[in-house]
Amino acid sequence: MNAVWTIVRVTFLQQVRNKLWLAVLLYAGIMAAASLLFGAVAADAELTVILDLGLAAAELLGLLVAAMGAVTLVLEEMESKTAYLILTRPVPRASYVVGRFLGLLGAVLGAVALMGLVHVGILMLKGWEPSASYFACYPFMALKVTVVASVALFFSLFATSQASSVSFTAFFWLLGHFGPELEFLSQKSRSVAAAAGVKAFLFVLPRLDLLTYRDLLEIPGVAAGPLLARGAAYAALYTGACLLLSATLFSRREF
Amino acid sequence: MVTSHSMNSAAVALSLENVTKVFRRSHLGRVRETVGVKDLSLRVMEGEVYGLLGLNGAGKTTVMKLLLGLLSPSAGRAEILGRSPEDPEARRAVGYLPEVPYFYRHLTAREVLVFYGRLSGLPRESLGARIEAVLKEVRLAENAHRPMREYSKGMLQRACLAQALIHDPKILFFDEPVTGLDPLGMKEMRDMMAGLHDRGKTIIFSSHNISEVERLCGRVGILVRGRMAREVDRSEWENDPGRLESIFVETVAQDPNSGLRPVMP
Repeated sequence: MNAVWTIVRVTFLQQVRNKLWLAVLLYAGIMAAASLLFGAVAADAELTVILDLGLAAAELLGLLVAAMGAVTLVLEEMESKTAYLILTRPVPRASYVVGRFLGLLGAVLGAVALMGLVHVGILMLKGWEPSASYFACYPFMALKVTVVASVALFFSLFATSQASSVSFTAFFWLLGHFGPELEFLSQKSRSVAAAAGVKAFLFVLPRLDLLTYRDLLEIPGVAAGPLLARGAAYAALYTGACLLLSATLFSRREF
Repeated sequence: MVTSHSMNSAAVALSLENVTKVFRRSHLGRVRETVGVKDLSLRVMEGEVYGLLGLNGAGKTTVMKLLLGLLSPSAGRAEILGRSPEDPEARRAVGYLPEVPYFYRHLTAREVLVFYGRLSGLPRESLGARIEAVLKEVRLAENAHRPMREYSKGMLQRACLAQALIHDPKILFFDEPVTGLDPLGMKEMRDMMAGLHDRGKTIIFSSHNISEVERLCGRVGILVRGRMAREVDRSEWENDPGRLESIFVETVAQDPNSGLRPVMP
């Protein structure tokens, strides 16, 4: 545990020093421009648009930074050989993978939290009144970032290039939002084999539709608590499985 | 000057038993195999300084990586103090100085030593004192607060030595430790290695520099195309300057692909 925590700390600092905060700066720029633009052209819907855009942009930037960071997280250390000096110490390889992952995740979630602060600041300036359902979006966002980062890390350990890892992750991220549609497809399929194939694929895909609370913000009577508990349990299981597979792949890796 | 050791009473620190390492690389469905080392056996005794000599691609780094657990043997067995190199407990006894210092360059030498010290399981209470002692030993104490991207090659090599020593390991792996250093840096490194040997450390090191090997080692293994072509004891060259070089050339020249003419008797 001591080794994991040591690696988490160094990875966190490494991500911060690698200019992760630029994502927050980019976010602030996007939101400042959006508030100026929509203030001028859509005064009636300005608050709603800024609210939706802000949440979507924070999630997208968080996912992008997490996926890109996870793809290079271990690969770069293998290429630069900094991993050699760690793996020749009494550190189990699984601890190394988990430590690197948690360090990245901590930095990315910190950046998303900062984006949230910027968003709240802009919304407050526009006269928005804080709501519990708005703040509930952030834990869901954190879960989604966690799941996508774990998928990216897993792909990075068996794909042949960073480009292919990013492509696989993007593919899973996209299809991960279409869980209900794929379920419908498997139910309507006349071929037993095709239905089983789709079901198996659904099992492997990250069910990101379970972690998208901001789509439900406008629907009255949708309580965040049970959805968050279900989402957290799912994300923990899925991320745990991805980390287990990543650690297994990494333990077989030669240098 | 390092003296040759009597190894009869010493325990085995490192061993390879009939180890073969085959690298398999597949490209467009075609698998290409390269033999890194073949049926190689060696034993390094506790307290010994053992040198690995060989041309480029002879397998020196592969031997080191097999012993460090960075590679797994395709056949045979590698051991550190009787344990598999994959056992974290075995690696607790090991310090590794790679050919090129691989560091997080934004960290200072002190931060690097905190990091590797903790990874090696050093208790927090004693870590600070140990770091100061090691920084002093490698003469980096005055520059320990500077990020390592500002270091010269010689300073980086000393920082790398410091990380290898931080947990006071029994066994040290030095992969080409003097490559790229200026004459003064080479002398410093040589003196430090001799000092470590005097303190009873087991050292295995690879080098192209025969004179360094000649000065420091008690025994030398000459690798030719992944095989242990010959092991030479210090007594064979100690009183005969340049003898190790001729043994090396003779041994390597026996390989028809070396590009050297076999030495005629």
